[in-house]
Amino acid sequence: MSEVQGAEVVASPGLRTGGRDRGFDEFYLGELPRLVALARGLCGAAAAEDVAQEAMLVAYRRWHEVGDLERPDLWTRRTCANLAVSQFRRRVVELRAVARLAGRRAPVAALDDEAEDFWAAVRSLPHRQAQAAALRFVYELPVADIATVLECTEGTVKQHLSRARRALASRLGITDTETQA
Amino acid sequence: MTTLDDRARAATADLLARTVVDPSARLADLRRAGRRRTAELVVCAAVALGLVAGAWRLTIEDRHPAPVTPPNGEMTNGAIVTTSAQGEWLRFDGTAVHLPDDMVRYGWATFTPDGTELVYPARGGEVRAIDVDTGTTRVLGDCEAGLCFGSLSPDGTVLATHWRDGLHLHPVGSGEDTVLDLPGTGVGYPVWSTDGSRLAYLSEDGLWVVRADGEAPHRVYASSLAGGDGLLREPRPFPLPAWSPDGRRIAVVLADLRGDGPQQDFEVVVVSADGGAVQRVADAGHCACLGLAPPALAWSPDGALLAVNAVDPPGGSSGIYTVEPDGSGWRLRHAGVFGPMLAWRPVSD
Repeated sequence: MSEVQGAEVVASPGLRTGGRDRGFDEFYLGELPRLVALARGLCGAAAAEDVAQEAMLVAYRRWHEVGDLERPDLWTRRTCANLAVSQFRRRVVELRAVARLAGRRAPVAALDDEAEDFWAAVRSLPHRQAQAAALRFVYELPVADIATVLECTEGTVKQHLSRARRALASRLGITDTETQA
Repeated sequence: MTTLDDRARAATADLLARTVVDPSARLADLRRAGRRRTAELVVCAAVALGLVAGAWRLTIEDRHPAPVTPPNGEMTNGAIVTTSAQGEWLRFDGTAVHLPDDMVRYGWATFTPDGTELVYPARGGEVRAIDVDTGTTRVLGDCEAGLCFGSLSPDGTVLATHWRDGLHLHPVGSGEDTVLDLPGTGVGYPVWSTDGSRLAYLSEDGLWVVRADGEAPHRVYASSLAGGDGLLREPRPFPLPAWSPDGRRIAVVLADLRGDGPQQDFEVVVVSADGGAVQRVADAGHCACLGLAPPALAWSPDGALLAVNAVDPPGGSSGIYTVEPDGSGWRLRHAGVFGPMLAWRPVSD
């Protein structure tokens, strides 16, 4: 505990001494590309890089906590997935990116038509189904890890995936052998 | 015959192949963004009621509100607590208090109505309370990682929190949460009224008030972004709607975006808790801090003043100002650039 006298600083809540852990750089460089892909699958190309970057910025600022986690990658994917499906949080991220990257945006390569249709169908799913499906496809995550990211039970994840698969198959007019089995 | 798995694999491969980023360049960009936010008054995320300029009008009524009767006996104004832009605790205008050293960086904090405890988000996904006289802490309940928020009922028995499935009322100590079924999309940030009879909360289309039993929700302030997107909200807990001690009004900060650029103008308004009356109180400044927290605000415990962490306000410097609820008496109390929380301790007379 700290006792503050007047307006002088006696103690600092949450501050850590020393610089950023070099481990963050390594984590960031390895994780970012697929994180952007996750964001793109969930919210489209325009905001994907900004959403992923925002998730990484949160992890960066909290690296003293996040870096100590057993799976900081899952924590960051959770942040990214939540940002990506919330249009209002996304709006804020996009607006912030305007200030940060004005005039320096690189063009985004378009997906082929079938891939674009597929991911548009994913984005049309209810949020939790879309998140579960995107995590499964982009990262090939097992159910247990998806449950960790989404902070729900494995049974709930299986339900989300099952419903997502049925909805995708119906919208795309293709066969889902897994749910038909 | 193409199966779903075939299609998914092909679509994912295409997604990964065509989503090209330069991690090294973006890492440099991230570090710059991190430094910039550390240096500014408001960081990264704010709860705000955002409107495009001209999309709303204020009606100024009740310029002479009835005198305030403080609840729970006579409470006077104690210390004002805030943080520096670097996240260090600062205290003004009152006696020394114990403050937590395990609060999440750039978190919020609120005093209990009797002024004995400060409720705050602790590292590890918990809402805790610290006895400001003894330094003893206790756990009130869990909160959503990365978006921790909790408001303790005035009688200290129920913690109102938000989770992905909505607002929860958690009995402190033990028991199952009650999940409130409420209107509005993306509801969050429930704040107890000072008499414990109601909760104010935010949704993507405005500010709402609901009875403590979840009944009779009504929107007291509607907001919209250009294109009718709805309420501008942030993923972090930050300055929140503040109930007046008499429970009749709620003070909020509006963030008005200037065109498409990063500048935001901030304004403090006071809304009738029953809906209808809106009082413009103060221009709380502006910053090129798009999406960052609006200025923090807190009612004085005696209900006579609002304290505001203004950011570069017109005609003045950044700092903690006080103003009367009718907008008069705008006065700089403490100059400086402060963090996104502000709490004013009630002290019994």
